[in-house]
Amino acid sequence: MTKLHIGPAMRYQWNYMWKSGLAAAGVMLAIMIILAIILTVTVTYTGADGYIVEAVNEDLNLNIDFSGSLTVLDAGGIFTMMLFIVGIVSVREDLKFFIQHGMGRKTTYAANILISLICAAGASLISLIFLLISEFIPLFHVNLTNIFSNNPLVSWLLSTLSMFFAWQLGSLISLIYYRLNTLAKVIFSIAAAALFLFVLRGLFSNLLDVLFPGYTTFWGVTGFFGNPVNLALTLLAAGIVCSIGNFLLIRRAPIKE
Amino acid sequence: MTIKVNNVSKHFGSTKALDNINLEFGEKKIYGLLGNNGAGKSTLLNAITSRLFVSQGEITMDGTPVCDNDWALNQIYMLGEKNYYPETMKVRDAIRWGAVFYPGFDTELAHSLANRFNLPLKKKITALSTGYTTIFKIVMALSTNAPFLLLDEPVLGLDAQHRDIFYKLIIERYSKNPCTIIISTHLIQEVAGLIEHCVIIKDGKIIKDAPSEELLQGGYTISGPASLLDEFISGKDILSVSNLGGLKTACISGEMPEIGSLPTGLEFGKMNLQEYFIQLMCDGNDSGLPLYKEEK
Repeated sequence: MTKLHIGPAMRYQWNYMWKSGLAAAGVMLAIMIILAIILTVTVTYTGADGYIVEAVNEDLNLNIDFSGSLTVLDAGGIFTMMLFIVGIVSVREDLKFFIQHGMGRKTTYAANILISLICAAGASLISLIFLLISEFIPLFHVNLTNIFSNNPLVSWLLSTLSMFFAWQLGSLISLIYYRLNTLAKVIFSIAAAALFLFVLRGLFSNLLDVLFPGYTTFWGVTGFFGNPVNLALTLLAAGIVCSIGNFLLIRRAPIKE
Repeated sequence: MTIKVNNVSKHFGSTKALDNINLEFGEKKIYGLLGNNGAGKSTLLNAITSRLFVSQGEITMDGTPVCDNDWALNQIYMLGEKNYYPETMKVRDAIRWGAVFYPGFDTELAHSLANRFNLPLKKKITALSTGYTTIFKIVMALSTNAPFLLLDEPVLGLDAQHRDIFYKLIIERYSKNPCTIIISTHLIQEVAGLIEHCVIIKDGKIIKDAPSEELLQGGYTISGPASLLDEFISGKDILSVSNLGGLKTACISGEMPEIGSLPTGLEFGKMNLQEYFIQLMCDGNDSGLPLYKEEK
């Protein structure tokens, strides 16, 4: 009698997500094709030296160097941003809509977790496909400098976890503001700004510099995020912490405008 | 299937919106939840539908707590004053989703009702006028076929013609598919004919919980020329007196006397629900007496 009616809730969320996801993928594909055409026509590729691409257009008297870090199509990054925003926007709307339709908070929470995992997995699969396609397009192979691209499975897993984390973080921020009163919102905003400006900057420059180089090289990949497994675990833990925060905030959330 | 409200209190800071309420909403009855502004009607309905949490007590459906219980919440549809639909959702989509969430939802009925009220299906819900937003909510509520319909100010912003259609639809819905309907409204006179059972709430407390007939049998009205009426009502338990022109009307508590026992020139009748409600809400010195003194 008390089991969650999660099916209709997920069907509702999925209905909006797959459309948005496909629209975003379509736009990215279009950009990819247009850029490929433009770059092929206008840019002279001299990629023998690592990832340096030289753009020469004598008519316009242009001579520009593109470095290897130029990621013309970072589908994973775009999807991560998109799911972060979805996390912010959807959680409150869904909470109200579901309660109007006889669904409790636990159902809203469970549906939110499941749909964020499904969407993250799907979006990261699309971005992986884009990554692989881009390999066949002249100039786009710069994307393959992406840190873990030499192992598609690891790349997909990492991308999935980072998108899941982004969604849950978005929901957490949204729910914190939803639950707080006006004064607490102001205090929280100032405190969060101070945290980013002073505390986290200190953490990134000190703690993370100590942590990440400490990771052993894995899957043959080296660099800032030396060990993708550790990074995956870090993202998973962060996602879980955010989702626990979401549960604590949503379970006693009153429905208000 | 019954909803029981057991010792429920709700505080908003220092304000007591509900004060130790005990109620039972039985099966297939039309209830009127009546009270002044801020009496606690909406708070009670919001607590029943788990939109807010009670500070004390419990609300159950057939013995199972309603709070965050999908099964219980799915037996209830609440038409509230606030709009909980996403900004971009269109009327036709809301109808489609209604059928997904409520297994008994009658999509055909929803479309026919929308037609009857000229509700534009392709318009976004948030773009509808106040009246049409109410119509949209009515369409949804009447189509869900949930065993409990909670209607909080269901005719807000509706014109007289649409209100009339709404009351007829309620009767139609109830006769075809009886369910428990709880109507919270200020337009008591308009719903008086529908209500079988009255729950009157004042300052967060239930002051009356009885069948309408029983309540109205507790008093009567009497009217006639002032001199005759004053003499007749002296010594009686007077609820209120009003004066309009030369005609005075009094509401008296107690059983109606036999018609033969009335002095000529006086007429009496049953007290209606609105009059009863007004008397009940009045505190001693403002019991319906005229605001302005009569000119001598």
